[in-house]
Amino acid sequence: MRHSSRPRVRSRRAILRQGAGGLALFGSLILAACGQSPPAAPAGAPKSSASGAPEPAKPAAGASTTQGAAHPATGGAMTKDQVNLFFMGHVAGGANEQKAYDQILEEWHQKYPNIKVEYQVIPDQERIQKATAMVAADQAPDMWRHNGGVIRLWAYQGHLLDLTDLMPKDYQQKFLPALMAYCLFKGRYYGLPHTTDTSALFYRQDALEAIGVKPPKELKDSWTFEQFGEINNKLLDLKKQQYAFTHNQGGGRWVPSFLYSTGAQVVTDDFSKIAINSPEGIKAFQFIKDWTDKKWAPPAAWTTQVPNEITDQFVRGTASMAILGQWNITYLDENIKDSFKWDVTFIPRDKMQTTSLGGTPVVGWAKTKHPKEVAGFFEYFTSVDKIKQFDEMANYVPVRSDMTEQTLNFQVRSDLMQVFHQQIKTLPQQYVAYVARSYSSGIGTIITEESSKLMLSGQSPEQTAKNIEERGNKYIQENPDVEVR
Amino acid sequence: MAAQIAALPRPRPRRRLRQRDVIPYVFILPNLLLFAVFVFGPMLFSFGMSFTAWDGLGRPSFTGLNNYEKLLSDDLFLTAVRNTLLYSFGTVLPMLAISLGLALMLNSRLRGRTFFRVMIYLPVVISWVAAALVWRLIFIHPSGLMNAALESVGIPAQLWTSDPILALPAIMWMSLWKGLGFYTVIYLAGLQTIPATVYEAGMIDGASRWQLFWRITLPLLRPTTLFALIVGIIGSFEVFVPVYLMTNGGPGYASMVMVMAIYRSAFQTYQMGYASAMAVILFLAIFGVSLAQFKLFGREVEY
Amino acid sequence: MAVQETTALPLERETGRDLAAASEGEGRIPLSALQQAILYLVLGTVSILMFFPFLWMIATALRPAGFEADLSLIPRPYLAFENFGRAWSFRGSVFTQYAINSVVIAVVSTALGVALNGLAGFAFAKYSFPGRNVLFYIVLTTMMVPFQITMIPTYVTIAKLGLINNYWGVILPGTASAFGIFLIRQFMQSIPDELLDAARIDGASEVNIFLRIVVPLSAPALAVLAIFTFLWRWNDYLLPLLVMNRQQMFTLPIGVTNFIGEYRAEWSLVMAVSLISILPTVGLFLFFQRYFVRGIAMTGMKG
Repeated sequence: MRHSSRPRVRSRRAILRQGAGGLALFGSLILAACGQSPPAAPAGAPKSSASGAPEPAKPAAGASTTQGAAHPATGGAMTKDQVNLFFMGHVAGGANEQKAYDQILEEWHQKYPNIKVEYQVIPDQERIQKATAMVAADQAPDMWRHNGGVIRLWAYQGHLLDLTDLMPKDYQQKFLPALMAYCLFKGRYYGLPHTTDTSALFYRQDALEAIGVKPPKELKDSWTFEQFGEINNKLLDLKKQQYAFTHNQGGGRWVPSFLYSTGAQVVTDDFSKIAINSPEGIKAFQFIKDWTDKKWAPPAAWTTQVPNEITDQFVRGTASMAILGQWNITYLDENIKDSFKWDVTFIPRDKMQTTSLGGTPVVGWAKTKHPKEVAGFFEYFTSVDKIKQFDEMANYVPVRSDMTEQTLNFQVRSDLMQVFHQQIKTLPQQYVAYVARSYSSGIGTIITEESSKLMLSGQSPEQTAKNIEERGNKYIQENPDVEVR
Repeated sequence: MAAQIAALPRPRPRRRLRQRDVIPYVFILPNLLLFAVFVFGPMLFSFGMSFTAWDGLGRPSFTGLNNYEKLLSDDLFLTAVRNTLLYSFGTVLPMLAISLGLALMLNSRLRGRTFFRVMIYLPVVISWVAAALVWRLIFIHPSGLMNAALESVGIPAQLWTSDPILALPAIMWMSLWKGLGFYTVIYLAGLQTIPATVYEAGMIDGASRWQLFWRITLPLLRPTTLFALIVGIIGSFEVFVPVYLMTNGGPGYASMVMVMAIYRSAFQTYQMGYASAMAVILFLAIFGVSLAQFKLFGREVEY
Repeated sequence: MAVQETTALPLERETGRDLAAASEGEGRIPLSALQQAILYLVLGTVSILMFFPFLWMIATALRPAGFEADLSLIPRPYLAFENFGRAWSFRGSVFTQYAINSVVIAVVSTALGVALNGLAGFAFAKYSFPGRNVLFYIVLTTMMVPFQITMIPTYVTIAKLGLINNYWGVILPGTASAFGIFLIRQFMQSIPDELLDAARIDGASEVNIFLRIVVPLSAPALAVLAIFTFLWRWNDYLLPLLVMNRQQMFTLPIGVTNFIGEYRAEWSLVMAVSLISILPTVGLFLFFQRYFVRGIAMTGMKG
């Protein structure tokens, strides 16, 4: 056989093989060098120090000291041994929030250098999937940020740390009852609220001035649905911005903000059936359908997937007003700059003022090796000082009921937070109770899908209500709330 | 003595023959082991879960064929099936045809063809996250690129990913953009398996360029085409990431596809057993279609 | 094969020039000026369509902070090249660490994958052994179940093996690839058995036959496999995210999500990192795509 060319080709392949072999070797070397997982916590169960007299309260830097705030009352119960706690979560709001975590953890480490808390940031979208996988493999973190809607489900399955006896007595009463509701299961609680957020109506001052409207500054004066509609029509007539308002209400946020406002509910008071197919419910559906039908809002806003998209519409001047969350304030400030003056007012209401609910609570793993240390850290993390610090840096609304009268000094546009402060008080109790049900994720998905059909496929309000009722009842039947299982 | 030696059984055949019989198993053994550990185990587990009602983390409860019965009357699932088929037919055949054409062009003696090869391959290389971001920008209503282009020729702006009818085509368009280079590369490699002597023979026989293509190139590309077809169809049946990133199956569930429905049931509505049943049906569909393709087109490639 | 390899042409020792010409396959036929012009036009148009979204990627990457809502193609008020530096220096040198991790995982996976899948594809292509077809179909079925449904059982398996937060926890599960085996098998089928038999008669071992004869002949296929394996591993998001628990083990695709929060995203930084991230994959493509030149020993065989 003639292989005149072959040596040339083969040598090239040989080099490649050698190269590949070398790289594989290189890779293996790296693996050997790097070692496996990070150093495990030293063996030995945490010993509660019998002589543990709590250290004298040291005021945290720059914060006022309220009772039990500066250090955990459970501090005495925590071990003096070296312990590593793995805390997994996301950074929802950007660089300021990351800084807040850094600072809060640094101050913790100064107080308790033997209890190392490592906060590992993971992407928000896959957060719960990763937690699910880790729990399934018995390798969950000691603590993580969870979703309120599924805490009770996971508690029922035995995956979450029961905090009731680990935290100071009656600690759960320190939090807004609406938020605590989704951490409570059969009288005990398995998580603690840490952040919450809500949305309000941002507006361009020039647009409202041009139509001669002064937005309300008091909750009791907030616009009704009808007034809101009139204002929208006037704004459209101005022909300055293409839409009267844009919004972040797609994907189910409108449910607490608008559905409950008409007096409708998602489920009955005994949580056994869907209650949305009522005249009030249909009225709410008709109202949001008007947003598209009357061209008040961009239809695409209903299905937006990513952060900044809706906010950008307001910044660009596509809409005169925008229903946005308080977490957008920093972004708006940085991007609108001086192009126009903007302020915020209350979400329009029908029979009563209601608002939406968000935020993430923190939970511990049932099988953590350091339950007392987790509890101690949680007490520190959810103390008045630390929540104040976190919220001021990252623009969140406080979750503690003993902070509702405090004026926080938000780093950006502190003047706007008053509206949010007032709004968060109008969280409908029945709505929160519904969210706390373990079937709420499934129902929420159904509501999102049917309301999208309402807004974008021309489905009638009556049909929408009927579909949600049918599909929802079926789902509840097959997946009853954990309290009744 | 000699007789005794002669009476001994003949020595075994040459060592080489034995090696040749055994060695294929040795060659495939590492892969089979890895498959067994990391793929078959989880597969069988998931298939088993399809006969239960399970929320993913608690205790599964056996429900027999219940999930399958529910699937038959589930409008969302049926929409997902329909959309997956639409997606598959709408992307695979055009993609293969266009990429074959491109590969032929890129295989010819053209100056600068490496530049063109890179251009066509670039969309394949960028991550889906980046691609989805750019295409969302392009599809923005009212002021995105696509709508600007349409309005310049008098067509009104469309909602694209928020439009129940256009959402799936928008995703298909994006997938086409992203996948073309992939199949072009495969065809480019496939064209290399055709020896020049074959063309020489054809040319000596006086065949035209077109005839060369139809009579020689295309038939000899059959193994490559079979591969691209099967891989393409399997990939299209399993499409997930572009849907997840662009529409999440919406609006409503207008752009729902099979794997998106599986994901929704597994991680949004906590019905892992139900999701597993969907996965079994998807598996059977893919298996059936692939088997059919092998039977129809695979014969020739058995040497 | 459908077309005879044995032609009437005698075996020739080919000169360098003829080799180059032969390696062009169909391109041996010179193109007329008109044909060239048409080719340039078509390829140029396609390239523009492929590349246009990239202009938007670049525009997004160069958008300055505080002007993030702007949609213009040329970022206003200035081109923020500092975004690349800002993104890469996020929280110290984490992105460098991410890049190192991505490189280790991608390189080792590619080397291992090409080796193992190449061997297996060869076995399926050129050997006949009992159970071959059944085993091949079984291998193919591993492509037919989407990762979303096997994700959690696979993760539990990886955890049981103690490979969490470990490079091998990411490398091993995906190494055995039905796609790769299928690809190699299709391409290697066109290798003439006579070639291999001749080598066997000469006393070569099976492994030697693979390394010395088969590998050079299937250079295009192996190149394609290397390119795609590297690409997939480089852009893989979900598996590394699940397996890795600590920042210092994260890969680039995970690192990008540092800029995508639940409430706020810095898309310019996302794009900046994404653009940097495509450089190795394009580089690898450029390196390997010269193997899309026919295995030269394929020409003029017979003897």
